[in-house]
Formats: sequence, C-alpha cells, structure tokens
Amino acid sequence: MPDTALDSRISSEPTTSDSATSLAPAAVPAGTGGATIQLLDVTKSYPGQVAPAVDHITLEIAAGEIVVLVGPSGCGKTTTMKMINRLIEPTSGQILIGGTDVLKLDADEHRRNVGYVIQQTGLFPHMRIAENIGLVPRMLGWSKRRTADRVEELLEVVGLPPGEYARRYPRELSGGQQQRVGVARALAADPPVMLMDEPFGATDPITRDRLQNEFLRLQREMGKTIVFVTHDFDEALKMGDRIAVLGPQSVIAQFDTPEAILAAPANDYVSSFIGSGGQLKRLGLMPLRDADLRPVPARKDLSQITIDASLHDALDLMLESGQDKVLVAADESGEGEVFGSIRLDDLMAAIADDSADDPSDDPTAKLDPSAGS
Amino acid sequence: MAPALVALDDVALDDPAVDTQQLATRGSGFWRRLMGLSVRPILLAAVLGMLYLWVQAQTLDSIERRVLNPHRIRIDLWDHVQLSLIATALTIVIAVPVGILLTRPFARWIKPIGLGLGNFGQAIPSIGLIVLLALWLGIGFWTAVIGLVVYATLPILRNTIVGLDGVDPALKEAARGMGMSRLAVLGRVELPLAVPVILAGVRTALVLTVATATLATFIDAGGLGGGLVAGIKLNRPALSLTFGVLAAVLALFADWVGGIAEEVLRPRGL
Repeated sequence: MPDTALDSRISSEPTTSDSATSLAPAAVPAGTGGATIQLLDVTKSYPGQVAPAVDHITLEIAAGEIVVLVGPSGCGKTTTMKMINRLIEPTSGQILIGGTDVLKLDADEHRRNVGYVIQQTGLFPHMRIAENIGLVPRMLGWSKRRTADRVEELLEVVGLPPGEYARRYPRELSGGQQQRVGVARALAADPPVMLMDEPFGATDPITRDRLQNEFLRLQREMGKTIVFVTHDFDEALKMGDRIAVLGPQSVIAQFDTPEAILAAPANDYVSSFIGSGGQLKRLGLMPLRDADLRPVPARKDLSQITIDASLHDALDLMLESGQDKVLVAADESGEGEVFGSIRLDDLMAAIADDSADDPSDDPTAKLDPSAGS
Repeated sequence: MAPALVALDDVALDDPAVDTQQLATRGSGFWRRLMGLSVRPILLAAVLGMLYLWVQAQTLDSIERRVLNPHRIRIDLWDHVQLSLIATALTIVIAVPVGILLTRPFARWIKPIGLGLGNFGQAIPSIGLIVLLALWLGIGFWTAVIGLVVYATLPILRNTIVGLDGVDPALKEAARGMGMSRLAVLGRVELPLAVPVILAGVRTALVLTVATATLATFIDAGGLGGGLVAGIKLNRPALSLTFGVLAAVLALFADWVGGIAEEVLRPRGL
C-alpha cells in the first residue's frame, strides 16, 4: 500500500556528493543540489524492548525533494530521521545517500556532510553567530577566509545582515532569528542532504509561517534533499513535496503527495490524522494561478483577490463578501490587472476532478503525479 | 578529530561596530559586578589597618615579639599561600579530569563511587586527616599538601560533574549531529559551558584550602596556624587574634580572587 515506486526517477536525478570541495557560488547559496536518500528495510530495536522502535521501514527519497515524516509523538519518526545521520545506529537494514552506503562511512565525517536542524536551534551559546555557522566548514578543513566569506553569504541568505549579526551571541537574537541561524549553520558546508527535526516548532505561529515561506523560497533555489519531521499535519502539507504518514513503529501508513493524501487517504488512520476540513485543506493547496479562470464579468462590485492566493482564500473571500464569485487580479488594491473571475461552482469542480489532475506546476514539486495512489 | 579542535575565534568579519557590541555583550551588569567586587579588598585593607593599629597599641613581651614580627609573619604568610595554591592547583589537576571521566557514558556506573570517595575525604575531620597522613607519610610540607588535596577534592569534583551534566543534551546532540568527535564536543561545547560551575567549585575549594591550611602547623608544614597555636599554648591572646585575623583575611581575599576569576573566565554569551 505505501507507494515508494520512484526508482526510475531516482537514477535520472543528478547526484553529487563532493559538496565540501565545491567553491561557494556568489549569488545562489548552494552549489550542490540534493542527493537521493534510500532507507532499505531499516529496523531499530532497543535491547529489552519487545517491539522495535522502527520496524522495517523502506523509504526512497528523490534528489531535491522535501519529504515530511509526520506522525504522533513516539511513532519513531525522529528515530527514523536520526538513523540517516547515524545519531542512532540502525539495528539492521541499509541507508544509502547518493548510492553510498552511509553505514560504512566514518560517522563523524558522514555527519559533516548532512545538514542538521533541530527544534531548540542547538546554537552554542558561548560562540558568536559567525563561529556557530563556521563550525562545520572549519571541521571540513576550509580556510578561515573561505569560511568567513561563506558565513557572510549565508547570513545574507537568511536575511540577517552580517555586519549586524555575525559578532553577536545567540541569546542576543530572537527565537526566529536563532532558527534562521540554525538553518544557515546546517547549510554552511553546502550538504546535499538536510535533516530537519521540527525546525520551526518552537516559534510563534506568525514567525513559523514566515520561516516556512522563506525556507521554501530558499529550497526552490537550492534543491536540497530534505527529510523534515513534524507532528503538525498542516505544516507537513505546506512543506512536503511528499508526505510519509507514519504509524507506530514508523510503519508507513501512506506515502504520497499532499494533494493525493488529502484526496484519497489510504485508511482511517490517515483520515484521522488529516482531521476535519480535509477538503478545505485541499483547496488550500490549489493555487489560483493554476485554476481555469472565467472571463472578467461586467459587474464591478466584486471583491478582488490576488492571483498568488489559493482556492481556499478565494472561498474565504466569497464567504466574507457574501458573493458567489470573486475577481482574480494582480493585487488586492483594485488597481492592478484583473485576470478573470472564479465562482463557487469552480471550486467544487476543482475538488471533484482533482484526483487525477496534477494540481501544481510548482517547480519544487518534482514528482510525477502518476506516483499518486 | 584534529581539525575539529581548531580554534574558530577568527571567523570574524570586519565590522566597525564590533567594539560597541562587545561592550554590550559584557553589559552593564559586568561592570556593576566588578564594582561590587572592589568593595571586598577595601574592607579587608581596613580590617588589616585596624589590626595593625591595635597591635601597635599593645605592649608586647619578649615571647610575643618573637612571633609577632614582620619577618616571621612574612614567612608564615608565604608558607600559607604556597600551601594553599599548590594544593588547589593539584586538586584541580586531579579532580577536573576525574570529574570529566565520571560523566562519560561508559563510566556513569562508577560516578556514585567517585562522589562517595570525595564525600569521604571531606567527611573526615580535617585535623584528623592531616595527622593520620603524617603518621603514614611523615611530617612536612608535602604531607600537608596531600591532606589539603584530599580535603578539597569534593567541591571541584562535584561541580565538574554537575557542570558537565548540566549542559543541555540538545546542544550535545547538535554538536554530534554536526560531525564533532566526542573529544571535540567535550572540549568545544561541554567544558566551556561547564566553566562557570567548575569555577564556583574551584573557588569553594580555594577558600576551604586556605582555611584548612592553618592546621598544617601541627605537622610542621608552616603557615599562619603556627602563630595562632602558639598564642593558645602560651596563653598570649594577641598572637592568636593577630594570626587568626590574618588567616581569615587571606581566606576572604582568596574568595575574592576566585570571584574575579569567575567573572573573567566565564564564557561570553552565557
């Protein structure tokens, strides 16, 4: 039932793992794209426990893809992730990154080539921001000059002007700023693979939303392969190219695109995880940009919505304005170009025939829609 | 492992605002604490001045003069300082590494034993400990040093363990997750973060050692205890008072130096 048939695509993705030796490029932060990650029949059991913490999981993640592991507390999702950078050693099974068996590598060396972001930021309070970010490059033997340049570049990338922040200590930054530094630190040596353990979980909802958006924008340029762990299904919907819904012992209940999971939950467990409002969430994943708009009607008293919004936003505006259609424009002010209109019927139609339809041209969605179940 | 230990102090960017930011980092609290720390030496100097005036006002007999003269005081004071510093330094050299070892995962099971031995050392009456050691090793300076080391081990050992155990496990895991070796995690993350707690233990040990070193005179190891004991034996209270006050002032001064060290050596950013 879990859908992991990705092999054909995996081989076609460019996979480079010599990131440590690539010179940092000027404009775009990342020189290296992602690498494939394959977990083959991986099990983790602890002595003295009858049931394994992770029971024979097989998961194949394409290069440049964000896969979210989502599940309730204690389901083994974090354990699964930590086995990828070997903070937890698997009891059995194979883990391949870019085709290399990481269990055969030196664990410390391996971890230097895997970015790691945790919820509590993990910044070292006695080191300045620049030192925190420069740690991994220095361990990899980069020169001080090159490291300093990279640190400066990354601080720019995450929106913290180096002149102001490089010499500060972590406690002098807000929670959101610290988390950005955490992301910058994980990216420092330009690793092909990043592991993110509830990276935005400790921030307030507004900051979290902004960090998520910034990170998705960044990822669009970087194309890292990312394993993202969360217990928040809405965050999973937002961040994931594909979502693995995990049950107890990290058993995959469903592994698919957010759209496909919402449209056709594999079983009651997945449905319960989606919770109420599944169809509304589906609308939230459908951008107006991709919708078939109707011609601009003659009426001019309609509310306007920006084309960057989703069908869910459009529905919300209909309910708010009490009209069954809204205008879709370049912006909300009423001055920009009006592209067309959309009606309540269109939203219903979109939900009804979405399942077979690729809902998105999003460049980050590298997945073949036929992979949907 | 080696590159992981390379100092990173110079991953700095040219930034004109650095100086003001450093000041801001140390913060006004830093200077206020330093101000607070300057009160102690002034008070101690006042006590010494009063002691001097009081001694000057006494008429000393020949016995008192033999003990209570600048030359003798200087020798005793120097012996006392030497005893205390050497004993404290040895204690640090022994207790900190042992504390580190006892916090490593492979040694956790012997931690209670180590702490128990430290407790044992401190639970024995100090005078008894020193005399017992003298019976075993003979009298003299080094026997006194050994006694003081046994006595002062516990605070440093305990604080090293508490300090290292108190480091946020998430930080240790982040360090491991970044690819630091265990040794690098210890040297670059755990120890720096435990420094304030360890230093507090060193400070306690130092004061304890200075105070206990007055007993060294019983095994002929010198120190300010000599004059104090002579005063009691010969029924010359002026001697006991003078040397007692000197020892107390020295202990308080040592505590003050320890406070300065804590202030200066505490990692910034904490």
